[in-house]
Amino acid sequence: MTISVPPELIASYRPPRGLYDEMVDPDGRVRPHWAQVGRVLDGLGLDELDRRRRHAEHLLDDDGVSYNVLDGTSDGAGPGSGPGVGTATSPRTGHGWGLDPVPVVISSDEWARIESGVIQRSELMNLILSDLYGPRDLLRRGLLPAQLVFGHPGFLRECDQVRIPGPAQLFTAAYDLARDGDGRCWVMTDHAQAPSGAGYALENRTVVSRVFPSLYREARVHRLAPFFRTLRTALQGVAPASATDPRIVVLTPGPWSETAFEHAYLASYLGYPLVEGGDLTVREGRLWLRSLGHLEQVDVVLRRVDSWFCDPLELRADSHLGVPGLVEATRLGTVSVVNTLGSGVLENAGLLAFLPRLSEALLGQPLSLPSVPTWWCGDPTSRSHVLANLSRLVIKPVARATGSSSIFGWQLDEAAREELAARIMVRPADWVGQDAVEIGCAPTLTPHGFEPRRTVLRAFAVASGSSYEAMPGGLTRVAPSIDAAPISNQAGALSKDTWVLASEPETLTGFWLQDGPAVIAIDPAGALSSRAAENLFWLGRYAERAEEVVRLLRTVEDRRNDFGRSGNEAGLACLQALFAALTHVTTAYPGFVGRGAAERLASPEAELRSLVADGGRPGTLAHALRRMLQSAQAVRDQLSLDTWMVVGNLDRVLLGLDDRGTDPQAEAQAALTHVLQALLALAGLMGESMVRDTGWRFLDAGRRIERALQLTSLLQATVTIDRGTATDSLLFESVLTAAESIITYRRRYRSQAQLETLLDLLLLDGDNPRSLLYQVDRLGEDLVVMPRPLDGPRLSGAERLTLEAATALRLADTTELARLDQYGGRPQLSAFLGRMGDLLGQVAKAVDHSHFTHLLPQRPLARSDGAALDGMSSQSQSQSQGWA
Amino acid sequence: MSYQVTHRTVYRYESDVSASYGQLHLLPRDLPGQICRTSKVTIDPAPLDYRERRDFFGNRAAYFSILEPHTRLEVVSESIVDVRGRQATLPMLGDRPWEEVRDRLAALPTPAEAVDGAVLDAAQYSFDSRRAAGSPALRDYAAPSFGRGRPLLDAVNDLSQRIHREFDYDAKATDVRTTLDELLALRAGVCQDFAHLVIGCLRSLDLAARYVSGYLETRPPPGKARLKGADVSHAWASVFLPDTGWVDIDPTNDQFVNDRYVTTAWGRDYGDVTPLEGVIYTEGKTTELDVGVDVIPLSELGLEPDGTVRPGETGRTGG
Repeated sequence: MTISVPPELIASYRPPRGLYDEMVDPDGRVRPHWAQVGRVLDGLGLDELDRRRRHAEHLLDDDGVSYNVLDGTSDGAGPGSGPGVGTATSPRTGHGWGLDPVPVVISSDEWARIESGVIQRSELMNLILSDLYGPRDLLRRGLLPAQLVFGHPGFLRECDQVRIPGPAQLFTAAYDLARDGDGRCWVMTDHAQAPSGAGYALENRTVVSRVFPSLYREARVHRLAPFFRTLRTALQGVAPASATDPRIVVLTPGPWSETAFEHAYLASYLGYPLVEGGDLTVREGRLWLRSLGHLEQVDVVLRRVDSWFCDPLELRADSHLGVPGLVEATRLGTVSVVNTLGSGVLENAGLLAFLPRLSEALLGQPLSLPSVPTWWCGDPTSRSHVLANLSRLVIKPVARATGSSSIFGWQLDEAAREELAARIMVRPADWVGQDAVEIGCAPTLTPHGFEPRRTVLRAFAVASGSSYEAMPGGLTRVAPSIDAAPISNQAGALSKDTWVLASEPETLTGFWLQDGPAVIAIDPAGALSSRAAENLFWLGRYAERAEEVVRLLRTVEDRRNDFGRSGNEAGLACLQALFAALTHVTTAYPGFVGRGAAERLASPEAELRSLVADGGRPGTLAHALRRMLQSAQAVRDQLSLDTWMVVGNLDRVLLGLDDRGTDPQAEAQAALTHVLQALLALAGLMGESMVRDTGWRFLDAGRRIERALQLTSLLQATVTIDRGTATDSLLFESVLTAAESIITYRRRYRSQAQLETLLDLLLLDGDNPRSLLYQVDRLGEDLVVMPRPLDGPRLSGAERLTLEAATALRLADTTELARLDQYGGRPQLSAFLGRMGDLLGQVAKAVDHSHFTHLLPQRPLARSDGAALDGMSSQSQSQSQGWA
Repeated sequence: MSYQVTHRTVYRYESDVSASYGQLHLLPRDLPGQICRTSKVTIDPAPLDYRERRDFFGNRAAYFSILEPHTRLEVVSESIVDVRGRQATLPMLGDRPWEEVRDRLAALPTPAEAVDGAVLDAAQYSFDSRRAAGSPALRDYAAPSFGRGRPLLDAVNDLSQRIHREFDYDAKATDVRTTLDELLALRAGVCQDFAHLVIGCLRSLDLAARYVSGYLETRPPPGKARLKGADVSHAWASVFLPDTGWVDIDPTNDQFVNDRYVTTAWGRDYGDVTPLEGVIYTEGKTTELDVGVDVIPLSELGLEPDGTVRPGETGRTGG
């Protein structure tokens, strides 16, 4: 089929000769299955496509989609299942997820071939995995050399003979597929450890279908949702027989792992709690989730932590990402971990050399989706072949380890090749040689039109009954330039949605809505881990802290605009008092009160900028926002998707501020306004879009405590001494502004400002949502519904303290509080505020003490040989949550 | 010989340990020439979980967890073990050129042949492990002992003699981070190091060797009483000879293993058979550790081989 009048975008598209192109054939004709998509894209034109691309970018930003780039350990293996996942948990740069809106289109017939190849390969891999951790007949029959298995670090002896219920021991798998010049599909890499990317594929689909809604509808693309329903069914299916209503969790290394976004996204899409190692504990031979106030038994763990890191007792002793005793629990069969611990043994490049034989021997069929031809150097004949052909082969280690990567023989000079040959000869069994594939390409949108980029498709399979189900499509990854071959998700790399066209209208199966008896809802408190509750509490506190700091900073800026350059004494005195209050409220000492305060008061710009933008300094706005986002990341699965639309780019707003602009003050003002808007929207979401479940109570309690504390310290710093009528008039107005009560005050008391009425509105008015009493009352309501031990006292410690604060507030007399002593101070007010601050601080401690997990630091038991365990590389693995 | 073996480990922590998970390899296994009659492990405080199992290598391992705060942990393992004729199993007669053994290990079984399960099992010990990997330096060090066609045990015996002669026993010279190549340069170490060294040398030559942990009875000087807790846990190497089996050799004492040795467990290296390892949760950074081992002939205790008190004598129940 030819397009009669070649339209512009496609007509000017020129893939390099010799490379297979997804869209056009070697003569430049659009392939039939691309006709519809190509026509529509062409019709839209470059400008419109670019607009859609930006739209996609915004959607991804709004969803907070990110891929955390590992520092300098790229091995081109792509997302996730590389060994780096478990090791580094220190904060790294979160990169936006790159998505080219132009999908890769695959015809129904072609997909049928790929799909059956993916399923066949999964069945084969499953038989191999079952055998290697079972009878090991493959070694006995000489089908696999012992060295390939016993010498591979992915083979975990600790996990030998552990089986999960059902025929499939390989739960999920992913395969990186590339096309050669003839369009033939080859498997470049197998992923069996903890395959990642399926969640990104789902997110890509969500975005692209929103960017091209009508095209997506008309093109009849296979939907991805059924794959995830199968995944969910499969998770239920591997639960131990004793579990009638299995509790399933998603185990993540934490918010700083490369694919943290995906872990949270999948957890919330599938509806399972996202947990870290510290949230789980093994006792009495079972695995438990540390939920609020009690332990919940866990039946299935969907693991996104590499096997090695899952149990510091039996596997890597220095891992802080695992659960001691987990291996023992899997041995007892009380919990199923998928993919099974040790499944990484399949990620063995040497295995590829033996797969054709294994396929014949185990399945009685040839591999329909072959691997790139591979030679294992442990075999003398293969080794000779590799050494003789170094200059045209890709040389890979059999085990993917940090820092090791593929070596392209043709890029080496003579000396380097000799050196490589020598390295191979020292440990031949550690290496393979692989034919190089001229990876094919697909049209990718650039500012200049469609350009060819090499693409690799990651296809996914999940166990289904006695076989496997493949995701229709997958995650297509795109090289950053036409010359670039290795594809990774490091900075600059892109991904694409993959459209598998349906030959006939899809019949919907496996509806979410189901007949049958109503399912008993999961107790929300049970589903909430103690860590999640803690993060929600701190999310509330930091969001509120940021909001209060913004308000105070804006108030200070207003007064600077009014009086900064005037000679007005009262105005300057008010400004000075506000500067001091800023330091007291933020506790960013010495600031405007301690050592060096005089100089900073004389030219406050640098200090003010630091209070806004210095993320490394506790007390600043940037610090509060950073902590707020960290807490939010850690409970991503608990928050509405809109949350990210609101706060997802807040950190970038402040990062931008670091640059010196032309009018820094105006720029800062604008940024503060932007931040305040986002925080208000966030507060609105929390108030209007979250169910009042236990998690919300923690969030709200955090917010109430923080607002109350901020208010008491603001009042303490401003109105506990008499500064004279002129100054105090201005100061009271600023305090009411910062406390977001100025409008009410003016309306209620018109121009008659008095301290008594100010205190009444800000402390005692239970109808003012900014008053202290209001916070204390709401806090009391939150505390009542938090879980408590059955045999505990009627009132928890936190409730008792809150009641004490509420009572003291109700009994307070503003006239007494406002009374001046002979030195111009208000000792009663000061003492009262001090007591309130103290009580609320104690409430926060009591909540922390009775609801949050307090894990002491994990350490290896000293060895009887006296030496400490191999250098504790715990750099930043600690999951400390003790933020103040 | 029959022995009562007592291995007591006491940890004293600087501050409260909230939870403690452990795995132990302290229970002697059975093997040709050794039978473990009785054994028991006592842990204080009493563990919430305690389970024994066979590990991958067939050793007796146990898992335990303590989930109450404690500042002291005591693990005592007591066993009665019969060791008979280990020296007699010494198979010098079956000795054969080391190259022949190497080739048997490397040969891939073919479906047509009957598989020699022992060779297949032994092959896994010819591959590098974390603490005992071959290297060019180790191969060079081993070379003088492994002349062309030299029988394997003869060569290993020579290697052991050279290590005994050329290396000093020095507990301070090495720690668990010391690599075998570093050890070669240091020329000093402890039994573990020498065992790993033999294993690394053999693996450099594609031979199968494993690490054995256990005990050695020490005899008090004539006329002196046996000192309580004076014995030590010990380690040595074992080398595989097809059709004969595994032959244990102790480079630290330059001898083939005899009836004064009690085997606890074996693996690829120390990491597979660590006597006691674990994970604890505590603020405290330091631990005080006491280990005491007693290997006492039952005859000295006045006990029957099954550990019961011989009629008419008052038995000492040992450490």
